Amino acid sequence: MSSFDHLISRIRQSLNSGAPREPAAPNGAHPQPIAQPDLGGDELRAQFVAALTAVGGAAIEAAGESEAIEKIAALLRSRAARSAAIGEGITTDSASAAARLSHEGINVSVLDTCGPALFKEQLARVDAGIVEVDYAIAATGTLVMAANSARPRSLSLLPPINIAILRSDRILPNLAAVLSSIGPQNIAAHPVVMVTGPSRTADIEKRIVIGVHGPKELYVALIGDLRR
Amino acid sequence: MEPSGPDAFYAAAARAAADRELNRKLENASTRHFEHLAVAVSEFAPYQSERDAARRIKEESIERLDELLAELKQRLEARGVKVFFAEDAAAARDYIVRVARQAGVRRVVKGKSMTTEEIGLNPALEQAGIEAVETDLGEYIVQLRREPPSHIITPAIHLSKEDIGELFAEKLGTAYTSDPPALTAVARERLREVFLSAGMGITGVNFAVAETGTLVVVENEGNGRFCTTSPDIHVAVMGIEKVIPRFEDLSHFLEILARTATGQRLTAYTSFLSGPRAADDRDGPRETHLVVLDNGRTRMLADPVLREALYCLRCGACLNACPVYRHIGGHAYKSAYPGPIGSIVSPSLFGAGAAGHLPFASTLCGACKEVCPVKIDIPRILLHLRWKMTEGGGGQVAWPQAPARVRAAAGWFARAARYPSMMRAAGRIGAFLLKPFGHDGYLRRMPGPFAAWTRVRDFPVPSGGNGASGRETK
Ligand code: SF4
Repeated sequence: MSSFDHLISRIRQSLNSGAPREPAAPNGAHPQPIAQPDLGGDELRAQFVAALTAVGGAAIEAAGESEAIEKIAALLRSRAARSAAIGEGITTDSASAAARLSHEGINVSVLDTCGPALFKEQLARVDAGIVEVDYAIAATGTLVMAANSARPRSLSLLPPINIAILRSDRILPNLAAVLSSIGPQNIAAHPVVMVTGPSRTADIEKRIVIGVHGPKELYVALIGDLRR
Repeated sequence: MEPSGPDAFYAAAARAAADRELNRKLENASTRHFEHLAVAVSEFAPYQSERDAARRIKEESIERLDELLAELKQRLEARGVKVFFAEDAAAARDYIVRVARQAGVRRVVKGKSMTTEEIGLNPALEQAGIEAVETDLGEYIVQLRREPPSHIITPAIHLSKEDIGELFAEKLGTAYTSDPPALTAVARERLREVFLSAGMGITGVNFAVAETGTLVVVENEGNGRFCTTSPDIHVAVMGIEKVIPRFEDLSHFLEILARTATGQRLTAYTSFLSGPRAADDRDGPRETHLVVLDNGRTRMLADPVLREALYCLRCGACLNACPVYRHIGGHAYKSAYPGPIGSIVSPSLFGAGAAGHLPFASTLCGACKEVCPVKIDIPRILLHLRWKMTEGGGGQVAWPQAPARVRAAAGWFARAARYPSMMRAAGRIGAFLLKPFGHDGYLRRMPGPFAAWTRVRDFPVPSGGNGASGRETK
């Protein structure tokens, strides 16, 4: 018997030795996710911005993509950031965004030509990581990002400044809504991370300090409500 | 860290109880924790119903444990994750050391994981010549002090910022500061290099989803993300009880875990890991291993009362709620799992000889049960264990009568727990509580560890005390 079989037989024995086993709940009898509050686009957006601010993030509002890139460039200059890396967008054209940032004097790294070791080294020297996110959660100010080869997860981890691009219609009311939008199929195929504010700790006397190992600053370029 | 019998515990508890400075730090931190928790819980209307939902899913998960672990294994292996089932701590340690050796790993970065504390992984790695660096700030601090963590969420809760400032100045050669942001910046800078050069990352797992084969890691600092993204090998270590059935179940757990553990809505990072990187991925591990640990958990499963302890999310709230923990801190318990939940799981994980005295180290005030996000009836399990430890659980003891007597005393405790000054009466309280057991006939023979716990109860007695019977046994 393998160690797995041994364990399973120990578990069966233990389960049977106690109280008689209850029959498994019929399908669908398990607790259902909480309901999604029915909020309009403006309310979701306002709630998201408030929750994001509460966890130490900041929103940059923009009417469209081009204004967002402009504002990101201005932000990077004001933070004395000289270099950035940008991941493939979902709806944003990352190539043209990169070109425009370069034009504004930001050194945008080309990340698509190297393996993991070199990638890590390059990214560790970059001031800002820019990535479009898949979803956001209004109630908690959370950004949800699925990773793939063109949107590596380190992009939102290594650089001290993290900038997310978010379309307003990707803001969902709560965590349950986001999990059901992602669904079991997608979560099995891609690593996903939920980001709620810049990295933080309360390990010294329970005092909150922002900026531990992950980004110290988190900005969200929020692109207009497309449903209007 | 493993407990080493009652005597070491009584000595350490007595020392800690007399340490006013320690008591002050623990009180401050616990008070701050509950201030944050109160806000996070009260603003979230469905908190109570989410607790019930989470509890029901845990009940289902444990009931279907065999089936769910088989499903998890199959899903993970289909994506190239290597799944290893470890019967005990030694098997888990040996496996991880072997993987590290075979890959020529010299340096390991670790995310915060109580399970790896439980199995004593760091000493085993070091013995094999592999450097193991703790990367959670609190863990990093206690590792520099060559100390175990004293809390499962806040490992350095027993230290003041001045203590940490002195530690950094001494061990890292930085200029003394007691400013938390400055101290944090030092750790960030030191550990960045370590992350990028480590060959293996080792983390715990908060939830493992059987349906999708997803490992969920919850953290705030980003060190967990580094450990699971940057090194070529990721080893996740979890107890068998971490598996849950469905992806959608996660919403219930994630909505309550951070609120209770740290008073946040969600932690800064929740990672949903799927396994090794794809061929064209730029980051993520080349190899992923999952170590699934029994180490006494199937023994807990076999006991219908103790089984409930396997629902634990390791949120740490019961530690902060516990008047005994708040008084003596985590180190005195000499177990990787201190506080109320630790007193329940330690005898099963480390053996009754090493930890059988711990179920007695509680006032049964019930605060732990109140705060527990999955409503584990900790006092009931503690009583059950006391019964098992004393009369061997032979069924001759009229133990159902005991809780009623204890409950009568517990009202007093609940009030006392709210006023730190009144907690100084803990010695008296304890004696009062224990007395019925000693003189009431249904527990005629005072068991060894029990007697010793009574003997060493020497919390300061407030003036006006009428002489604690606990002291009479000295
Ligand atoms: S027993 Fe409950 S309160 Fe204590 S750590 Fe576990 S989940 Fe948290």
